[in-house]
Amino acid sequence: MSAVDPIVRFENIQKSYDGEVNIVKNLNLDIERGEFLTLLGPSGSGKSTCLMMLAGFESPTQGTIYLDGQALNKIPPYKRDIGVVFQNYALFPHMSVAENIAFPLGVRKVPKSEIEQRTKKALDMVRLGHLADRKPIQLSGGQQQRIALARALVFEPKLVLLDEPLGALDKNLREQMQIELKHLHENLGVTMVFVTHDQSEALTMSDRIAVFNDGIIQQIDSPTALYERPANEFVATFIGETNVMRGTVEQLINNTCQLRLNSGALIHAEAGAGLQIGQPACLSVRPERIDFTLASDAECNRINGHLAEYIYHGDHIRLRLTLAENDDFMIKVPANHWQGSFTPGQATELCFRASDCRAVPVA
Amino acid sequence: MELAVENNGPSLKDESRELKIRLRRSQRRQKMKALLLVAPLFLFTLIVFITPIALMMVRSVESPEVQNAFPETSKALMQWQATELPSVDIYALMVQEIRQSWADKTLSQAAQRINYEDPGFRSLLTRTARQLSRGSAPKTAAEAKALLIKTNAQWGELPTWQVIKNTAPAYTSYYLLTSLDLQKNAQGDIVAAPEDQGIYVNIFLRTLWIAFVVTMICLVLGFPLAHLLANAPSKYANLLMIGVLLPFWTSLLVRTSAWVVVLQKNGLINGLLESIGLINEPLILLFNRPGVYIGLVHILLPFMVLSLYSVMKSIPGTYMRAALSLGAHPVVAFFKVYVPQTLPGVAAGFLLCFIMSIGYYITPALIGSPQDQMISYFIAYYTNNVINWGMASALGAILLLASTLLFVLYARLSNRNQIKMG
Repeated sequence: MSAVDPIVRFENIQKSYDGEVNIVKNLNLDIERGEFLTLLGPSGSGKSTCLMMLAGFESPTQGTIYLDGQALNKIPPYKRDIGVVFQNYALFPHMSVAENIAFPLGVRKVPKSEIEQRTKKALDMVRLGHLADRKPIQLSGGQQQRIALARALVFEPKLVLLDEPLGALDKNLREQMQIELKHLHENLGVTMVFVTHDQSEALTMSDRIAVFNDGIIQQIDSPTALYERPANEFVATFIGETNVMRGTVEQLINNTCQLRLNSGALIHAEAGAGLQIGQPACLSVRPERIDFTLASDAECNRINGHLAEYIYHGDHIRLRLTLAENDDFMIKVPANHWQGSFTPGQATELCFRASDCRAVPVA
Repeated sequence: MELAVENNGPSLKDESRELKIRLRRSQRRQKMKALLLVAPLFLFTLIVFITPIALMMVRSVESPEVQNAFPETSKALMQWQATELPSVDIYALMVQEIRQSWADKTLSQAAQRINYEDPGFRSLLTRTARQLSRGSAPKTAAEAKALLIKTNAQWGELPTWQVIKNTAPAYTSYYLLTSLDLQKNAQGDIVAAPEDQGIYVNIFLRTLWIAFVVTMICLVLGFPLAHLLANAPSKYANLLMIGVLLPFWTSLLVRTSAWVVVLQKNGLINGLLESIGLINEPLILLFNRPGVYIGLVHILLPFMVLSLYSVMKSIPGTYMRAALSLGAHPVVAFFKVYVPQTLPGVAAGFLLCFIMSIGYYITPALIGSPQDQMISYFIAYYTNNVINWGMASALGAILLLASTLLFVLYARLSNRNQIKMG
């Protein structure tokens, strides 16, 4: 986790608002130069607080944040040289688009001709050069978002923080902006720290994702690693969709284990870190990893269940099953793979490979 | 298929026409409902607010007294050229109508009205009427003229008749002109009044100046308070808000009288300042300009604070944060980002306080010296003390005009701002 030359380092950071509960508990985090890091977690998990501490709007109760090796605790926000994009954009309503973008340059006493030139460049970067003289209120949500981005980037900050910037946009626009933001990051190479509670957004854009819950980073990893190899039950259920079953660890060999489910079935699974023989564990199986074509494969895990519901989604079909361990077990089948018939209450055997399920410590 | 469309055409048209009629009917019902809902307040406003103001405005130009007392003479004098003494017939009419109005007791009002323009006219008319009423009526017109001039030689002079002619029309610009320190000379031209009579322009300027100073003090004191109110945690903000609103729950008269107690020579303020050794002899805070400022600011501050608060409450804190994150020093951020967004509130509060203070009466009357009285004092004086409703109305009309002009200016400015922002 410790990079060679991190741009930001959180060292033993704690934050409490009321003196009783720590909203951030002993956080240690290195942000690497040029990466796109997402802080992901449910609301109240401490991710936004971390961002605000980094921006300087909140101060840690304990610990030190370093930016480029320099302790930030005593440096006020306006001297930190960190660009921030807010959820509601916070474009100044009394200034035109160009004046908004020129603002950070103006307060830095950049020469007038240079301001003009850099403002124009920033506007062109977000492809909104033709809107320079408009007031923010005359722009659509997506355009305001881009202006806010241009304003946070125009003074070439060391770091750009984005606090749920896409939350207010509708779904299509949000997806379009995700791609645009990702391209912008790739082209500029600036370090970006992005906060969201939307896991699909995090998966789409990030180099690394730090999953927050309860003031603690549950796991920090690449999107693939998070999805494929969640470290614990929280990450497994928070990232993507999964089916959870509980049992006890019976055997543990390297990265695999045998798990006795509470219903008595024995399951072979990949083992996450921190499992111990005889201890309870949680088995996570992704809905799309259940395969009906595996019935003849002797190696795979088998569980019995009953079909409960059939839900048509166009490109795929979802089946809800009731199992002894979980009466809300979902299966996702591509529509063109589905040949079976559906009768409620019909008994079915589920098969999945040991490599497609993962046992992790109980949260 | 085409046939079917052609057949459908007219019926579709009919249908849409019918739809329009139905829509209009349903909207009419809504409009009626809306009208009914506003009707009580509208009638109330009309009866107790708009009508009295309209009547007052009329009073500022109305001058019926002379015509009431001397109807025929007035008519005749309005035809008269005023270059030489009027004809004997007019003398005869005058004598007859003086006797008549003396009996009807309408003479005194006319005498007072003419007296405004020519001091001393009241005694002339009253003395003349008393003498005429003792004797018998003159037989001929020539006799009437001789009789009138005999009672007082002034009746034989041209200016006496010119004054009556000037006051004869039913409408006059006299009150309004006087309110602006102007008057009509004998030729009917508008000229400046003599210096000893022209006091109102100064009083208007004084009124505007006091209102301006009071409003500026309110703004300077109210801005930080409103900012605190809008940004404090709701627990404290509610308490503070009660503090701001408290004066509204206390009688205006009580509050103003309390200032007399607090500000007097041996009052609280002087006692406190002396006991901590800041001053050696008591400050004079009462019956002078600072006292008026203190009293007015105390009364008008809540209006300023509430105007500012309502706007500041709607400015999210993220603007300041954004400005800081972009590298602006907190002071720069405050003046470049925060203050411009509060301008609608500043303008509303300024206008509210200013308009309220230019019409204020009680506070300057109770804690000001004669040199601190504002225009409302003179309106009250003319209404209550000397019963000159014409002057009271004229001063009031000019005050109303000034307020309206200010309001129009404000509406223009705020409109332009909206267009700029929108």
